Amino acid sequence: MERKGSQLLQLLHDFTVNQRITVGFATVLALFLLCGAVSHFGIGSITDNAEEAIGGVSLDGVLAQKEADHLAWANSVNTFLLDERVEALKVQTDDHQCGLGKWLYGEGRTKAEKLVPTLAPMLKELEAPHQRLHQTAIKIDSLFREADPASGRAAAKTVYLEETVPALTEVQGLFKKIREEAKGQIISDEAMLASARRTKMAGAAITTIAVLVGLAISYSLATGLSKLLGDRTQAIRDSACQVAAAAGEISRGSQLLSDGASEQAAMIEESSSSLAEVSAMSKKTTELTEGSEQLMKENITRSAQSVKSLAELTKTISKIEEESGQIRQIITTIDAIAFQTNLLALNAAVEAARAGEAGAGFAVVAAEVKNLAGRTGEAAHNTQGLLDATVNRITSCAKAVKAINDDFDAIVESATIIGDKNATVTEASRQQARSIAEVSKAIEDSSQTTQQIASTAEESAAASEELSAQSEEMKNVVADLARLVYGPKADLDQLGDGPAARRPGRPAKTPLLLGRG
Amino acid sequence: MEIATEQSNGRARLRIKGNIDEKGAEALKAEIGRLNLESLSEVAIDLREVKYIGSSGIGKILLLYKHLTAKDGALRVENASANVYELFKELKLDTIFPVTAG
Repeated sequence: MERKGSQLLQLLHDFTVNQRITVGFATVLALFLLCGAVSHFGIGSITDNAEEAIGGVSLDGVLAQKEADHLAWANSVNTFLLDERVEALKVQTDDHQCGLGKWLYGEGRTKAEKLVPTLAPMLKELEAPHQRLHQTAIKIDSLFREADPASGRAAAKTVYLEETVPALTEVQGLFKKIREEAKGQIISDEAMLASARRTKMAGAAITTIAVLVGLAISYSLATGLSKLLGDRTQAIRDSACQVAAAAGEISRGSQLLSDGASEQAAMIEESSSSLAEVSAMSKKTTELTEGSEQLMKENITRSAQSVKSLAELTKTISKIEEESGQIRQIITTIDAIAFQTNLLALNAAVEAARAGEAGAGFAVVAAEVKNLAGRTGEAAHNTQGLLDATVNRITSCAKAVKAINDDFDAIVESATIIGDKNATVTEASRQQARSIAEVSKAIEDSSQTTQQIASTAEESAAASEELSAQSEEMKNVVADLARLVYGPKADLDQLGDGPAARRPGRPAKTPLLLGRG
Repeated sequence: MEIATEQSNGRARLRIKGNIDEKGAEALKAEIGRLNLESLSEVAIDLREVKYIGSSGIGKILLLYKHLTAKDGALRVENASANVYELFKELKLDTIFPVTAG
């Protein structure tokens, strides 16, 4: 319960002024509406009670009249039976056409049942004895007419005594019960008056409560608003002081910013000139690498041609090596032929000596052949020596070519790899040039931004001065507001002096709710 | 870069897919090293799916040519794309071994 109360207070505290006033007036209006409703329904109840009382009195009269009518009716029947001078029974024999019958089967009964609903079963119970009562009259009349006057009248009396009178008694008894029930259900004058008094008291009580609640709400709103405005006035004054202090800080900050921007502008200028040098170097590198790319292509072309020549040279030397072997074979053959020739010359010389004088000429020829064979063998031997030297040189040459081949593989590989590296460097130089261009653009933008910062810093300094003036103006407004809340004698010192003198327990930055909602 | 090699009857065919940059050239060199050049009379390099070849790649092809020629073998470069074919022409490689455009 206590928790719910504190929650309600918190809810009220969170309300805006607009909401508080609206809720206050709505509460008072609701109470006055309640008061009006109580009065309206109270008067309505009094009216209903009065109508009910009037209707009850009227119903009782009607019922008394109907009861009296039937007593008169019975009296007429009795007179007919006792007075011999009366020769005809002149009473109503139809139970629907007599006074009670018309009422019982007409609107009168409907109204009565609506007024007192508990009468309905009783009235229903009344129908049967009432019908029998009227039927006894028909019976009496018929007996009287059919028989001779003396016996007929006696029989009719018997019917009267045995049927009419009990039926009448039953009807009367029921009438009595019905009237008592009606009286019991219909409100009495005293009760009506008591009800009216209660209505009057309730109206007065609710009106009093409404007035008291209205006063309480007005007091609460007035004090609450005064307190709220006072707190906010203090908060605004504090804010004004803080704004003035902040304006001073902004002014100093702007000056620092302006100085910093100037330094930065000088640094940017230095950076810009350094970057221009780097850009020139990068451009030169790109040109160089692009030139070397062309050189590399020429190098590859020449290398390819050299590869072709080297391959052909290698093949040629291999063939020379092969052919050297063949030459050596030929020389060996020649040497063998010279040896055989020498042997043949010796044989010829022996045969010439054996022939004596006749063979003297042949011996000269044989000596010449031997001489030729010896010279041939010497030449073959010399050629062999020369060939061996040549073959040795060719072998050395083949070895050199093989070494060149191996070296050339490495040269071609290195040269072509350098080509790729060079291409990579060229691309990197191009990218570097692009990056430098972007950095140059960024520096230019930065320079513009720095100028804007310097300009903004100056504007900020001017704005902080304006802010300072505005804070002074705000303090004046606060003084006016304080006078509005606390009257002409309001003294701002009562509210404290600046943030340091803020009342304890009150948050420094309470949300200002005046304009919300 | 990918290299698919087929060998039959003393002939080999290297189908290269991708760019032959410095790294690709090393892969080509390794693939050439795996060939038994002594037994090959002809090697064809199919450059249909090569859009770029760097100088390293050209160097490897030149050395393959040199080794093949020394053993009376032959090298052919086939199906070179327009850029690659123009480069081979510019470097006059078509005067060293047959080069056909794709």
